[in-house]
Amino acid sequence: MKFKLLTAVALLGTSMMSLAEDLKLDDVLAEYIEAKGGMEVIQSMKTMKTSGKMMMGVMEAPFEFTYKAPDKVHTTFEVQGMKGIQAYDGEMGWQVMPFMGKDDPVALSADELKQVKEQSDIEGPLVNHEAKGIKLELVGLTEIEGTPVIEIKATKPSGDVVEVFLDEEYKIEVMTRSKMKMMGQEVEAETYFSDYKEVGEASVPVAHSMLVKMNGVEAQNLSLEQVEINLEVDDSLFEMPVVAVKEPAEKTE
Amino acid sequence: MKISTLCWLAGSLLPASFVAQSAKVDSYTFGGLQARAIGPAVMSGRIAALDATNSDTPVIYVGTASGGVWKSKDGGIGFEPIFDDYNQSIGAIKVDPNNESNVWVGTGESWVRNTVSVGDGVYLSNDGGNKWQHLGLEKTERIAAIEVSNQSSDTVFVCATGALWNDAKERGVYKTSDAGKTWQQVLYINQSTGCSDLVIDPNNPNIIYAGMWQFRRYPDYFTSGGEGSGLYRSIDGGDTWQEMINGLPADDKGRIALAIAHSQSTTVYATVEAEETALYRSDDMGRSWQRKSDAGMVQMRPFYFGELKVDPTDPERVYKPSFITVTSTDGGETFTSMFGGGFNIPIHPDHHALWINENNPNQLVLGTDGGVYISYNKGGNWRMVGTLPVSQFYHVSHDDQWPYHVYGGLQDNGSWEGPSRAAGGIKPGDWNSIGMGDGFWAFVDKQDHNTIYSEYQGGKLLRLNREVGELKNIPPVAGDGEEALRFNWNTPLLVSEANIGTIYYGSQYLHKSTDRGESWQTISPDLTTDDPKRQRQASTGGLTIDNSTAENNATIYTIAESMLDKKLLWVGSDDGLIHVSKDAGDSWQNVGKNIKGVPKGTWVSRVTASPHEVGTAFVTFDGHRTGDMKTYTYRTDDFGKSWQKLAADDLGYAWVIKQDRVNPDLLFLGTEFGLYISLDAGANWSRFKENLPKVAIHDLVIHPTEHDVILATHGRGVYIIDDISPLRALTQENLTENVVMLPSRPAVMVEGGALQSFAGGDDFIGANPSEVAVITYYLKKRHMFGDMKINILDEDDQVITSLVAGKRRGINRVEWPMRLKAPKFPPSTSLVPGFVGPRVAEGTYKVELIKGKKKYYSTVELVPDPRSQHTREDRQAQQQLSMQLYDAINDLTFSLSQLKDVVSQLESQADLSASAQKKVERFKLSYQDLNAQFTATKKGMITGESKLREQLGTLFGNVVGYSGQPSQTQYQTAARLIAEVATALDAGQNLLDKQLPGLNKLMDKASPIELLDRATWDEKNGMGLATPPVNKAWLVNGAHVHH
Repeated sequence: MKFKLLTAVALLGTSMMSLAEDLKLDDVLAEYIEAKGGMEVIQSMKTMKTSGKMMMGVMEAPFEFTYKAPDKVHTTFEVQGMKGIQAYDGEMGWQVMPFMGKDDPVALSADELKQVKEQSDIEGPLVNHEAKGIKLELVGLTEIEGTPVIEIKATKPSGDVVEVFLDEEYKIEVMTRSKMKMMGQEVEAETYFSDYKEVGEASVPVAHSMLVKMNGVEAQNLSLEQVEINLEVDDSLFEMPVVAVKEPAEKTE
Repeated sequence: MKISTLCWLAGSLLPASFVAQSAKVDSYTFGGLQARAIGPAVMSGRIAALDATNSDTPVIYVGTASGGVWKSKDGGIGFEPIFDDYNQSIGAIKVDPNNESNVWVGTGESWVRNTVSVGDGVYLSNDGGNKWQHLGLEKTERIAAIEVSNQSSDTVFVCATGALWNDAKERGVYKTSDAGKTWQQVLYINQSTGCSDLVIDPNNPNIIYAGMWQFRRYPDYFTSGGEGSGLYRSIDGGDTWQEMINGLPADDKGRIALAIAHSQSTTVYATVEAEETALYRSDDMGRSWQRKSDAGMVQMRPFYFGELKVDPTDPERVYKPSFITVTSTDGGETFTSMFGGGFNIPIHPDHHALWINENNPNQLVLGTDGGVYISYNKGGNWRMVGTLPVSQFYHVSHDDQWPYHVYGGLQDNGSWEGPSRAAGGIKPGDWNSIGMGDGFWAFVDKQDHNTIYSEYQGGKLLRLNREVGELKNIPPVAGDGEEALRFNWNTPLLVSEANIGTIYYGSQYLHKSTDRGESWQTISPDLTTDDPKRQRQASTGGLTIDNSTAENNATIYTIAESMLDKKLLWVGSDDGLIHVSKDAGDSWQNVGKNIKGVPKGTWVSRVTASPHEVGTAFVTFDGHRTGDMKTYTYRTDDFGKSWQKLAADDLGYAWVIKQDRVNPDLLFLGTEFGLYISLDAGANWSRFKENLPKVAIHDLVIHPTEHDVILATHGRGVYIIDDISPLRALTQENLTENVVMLPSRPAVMVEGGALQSFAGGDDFIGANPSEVAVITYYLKKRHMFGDMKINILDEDDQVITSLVAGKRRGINRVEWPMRLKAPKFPPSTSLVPGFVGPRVAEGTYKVELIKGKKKYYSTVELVPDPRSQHTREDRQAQQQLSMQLYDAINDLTFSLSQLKDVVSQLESQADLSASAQKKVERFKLSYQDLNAQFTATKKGMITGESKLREQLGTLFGNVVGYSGQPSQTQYQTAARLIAEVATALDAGQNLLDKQLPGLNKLMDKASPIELLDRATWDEKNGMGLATPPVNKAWLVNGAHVHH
């Protein structure tokens, strides 16, 4: 009995040490891709449509997010019956924010455009990183809120850094941390992922709950209710509408 | 070898089942239980070091005495802490002149007052303070200066003052040539002489000047100066050093401060402590020195005021930070105060750090015992930084009002009181000064909230009439022919809870007053060693006498009473004795001698009596004043006859230990390096670090009714851990479960809130506790896969609302705003104040946690605001009207959405005949007319248009925003608007009745118009409620759900 216990302790020690020392970026990435359903599945995804709720404090807003490969995105959210839109068609970023009486589409600011472009890389920095010019560095093992994770630092061609923390056991994201500029000031955004569920025919695990912290303060919770893959989506959805004369009653919903 | 032995022991002693089941307990187990900082920053705290970038808007780094490093990116308006996970005592900060992203921090403050902390070496950040590397020199304990060569970022000099309380070799000047990978000790004198200051020639970084200083502290004595002290120079990059003597005092020297004129680097200034302390100047790179001013501010407290600066553009303009900062404009010959010759500008005295913008010498940043000040005119006037909550509390207490207030004394910043919560956060103006000097213990009188007791250094005791603002001096004094009373710097005061109306106060004797300090009885013999060898304070200081009472020793330091036995008293002394009296002071037993394993004479930092067992007490010892940094914590269960050591050895020297009021196994330990919690009576300890830096915890109290742990940090103000009920429930058994629902205190439905204010960003605002209901549970492991959410249920188990669940390992806290979700408004062109739903009624609600396929249940209790002026009936009336308006808004929105949906269906019909198209157009126009009748449609930012939707929204917001009876006007308006909604609904129904049958006839039979039904609409619009709709009984009845 004693012998067995000691062996177990010794083995545990060895395996943990070897994990720390032998951890290789390529192996971790391979396991990550595998966990996400494999490269074939990842690359076969042409469109994705999700809907759910966005919660900011006591406010709750239904939202819809639509993606079309390779880089088109369209997000809407609704407050008091008015619908805000933010979109990017691969070239042009635009938004409609009707909450203060102005419902014409306007071009995004540089900061906003950068954020929307980030969203449009829905695979994330760990997939096809070389093609995207992203440098990856395996930082090592650490913990996020007490959960053991593997930290990978991704440096984009722009110099921006995203830190990705993968669950040590499942090799899927527990958290990502990135720095972004808002109104010229640097802001640190952390996104915590949970409620992974399998989606589509290939059973890809998709986090259905995301908690976003800005500079360490809880900013919003996103909760996905529906995730659909490879639906037909028309390109026109992503293009900035030409400002035309519209009937007042036609402008929302 | 030792480790394997331990494994054997663990394996053989523990039952196998326990090994298999035991859950990991560590800092993360406390999970979502966070501390909150309430400040204050109004008086801030001691600043030890400063540096900044020489830009238009300087990036400022502030190193505090014991509150870490803070950074401002906006020129000194806002500051954020950037060093919370590391040693909080800062001695030096240096921004690399070659690369502003490189920031060096030397830990261990070098202003070696009696209460100075200890550092653990040098750190470097390569990204402006986001991430830090520890680069060694752990044992240097204190670092006074760091200089980086302006020719290479890899070459850095560290001026290590070294250990204060003992001999040590790790001191002097260290150099690295590989950015901290390796270090060379390039200047070393002896084991009691360290480096006090170091400057580098900006025109030739091979030329370095260093002040070497012999000094030592003992519990009762400080000495500055000796043959080790001297001013040294190297001209070969630190390889060799020569002592500079020409023109400097020949006898023993003390602390030396240095400054080099950057505009003329052959000129160097030095203040040299000596028999006649003075400023010296050299114009030949240190070869010869001329004695200059010996003004009072130049001579004052050299060990404490060792800072000196020269204007970067004017070699004749010298700043000498001291008790106040004085300036010379004639090269050090004379100094004039820059404060208009007096104290008319109210900035805190005791100045330790000064930064001058190299590119704009008008701009100064000054670090004092009371925070940071910024000047834009060379010190002509100053603005205090309001965002540095680095106050150094010694102790904390609380009163029993709601919300309760906290009381405490601070190093060099008097005594203060402030609320534990306030509308809109705890603002500077919420704090009130209640004492003076260096503050320590402060209490409110248990019978009279207008009376506050506080004290200041060396045993001066004060009683404040809060309303009038008048102080009375009330300390006990020695009678004729009696031995003088010896009071500690931090004299123990206890306003009794066991014997209301009694105050205890400690000199070498224990004193008691039953008349609010008007008179005193001495109720003990001398409870110290009375050792004359520990009473040298009258001659303390070395070259410069400095008897401030900081070295008073052989005194009582801690007093405790038992809440289980009114006559039981415990007393501990700063020279290692512990006494107990079971008869209210008639007789005393020395029981400290029964403790094994603590060096004789070790300072007793705290004795506390158990709230559970009368014979049980806890004690901490603090040996750091003799160089012993170990953690000493002991427990007795037999009135001190025998003691057991608790399993804490290397958590930092200990200040305070408390046993929880409810769970006897739950212990809280405050040390120099943070707060530690044990869930198993002291066998295992984990640091509490959720939003709590690694700061010294000098005192803590557990609030008996709010269940908060209130922390007096020495460097970061007061922190509160709200509601530790869940910690109390974390038994060993619960820890092994996957999911455990944990209790929370009743949630107060706070009324009122912050009123309009636009104060800007230069005030620290203390955080409030969550003003919502909190649902608490424990997860053994992070939730990753599948659904996890929380439902709040009514008495029929119908879902009132659902919440996003916390997923982290350990304790999770999820907030429920105690409200329905906001009503759904029809589309319009403006927002209305209806962002929150109606508040639910007080009472107990059932909580359902769904994790995958499993469900777990608990309850949450909502109680009215204890300050509420409204009756229960008033609150119910408000809820009733809120709900009527809520329903009316949703009804209106549904009706318009139903019509809009018909329009969408009509528009999707293809190939309609011209006559059909005409009917479709007619319906659309009718809908648009109706819509424009009930909702605002004008475009523009401020249209002033207010239709039914806007009027309803505004009224709803007003009614929901007040917790009591709505006004008669509001009732009348509501009646009118609700009637209008009925009209609107009729109009909508009429439209459908009149036109829909005709339209349907025209439509393709395969796709008739389908009317949207209410249940689908409710669900689609995320009301959080599927059918059946809200059971409104719980809104108006309240207090009836008891699961």
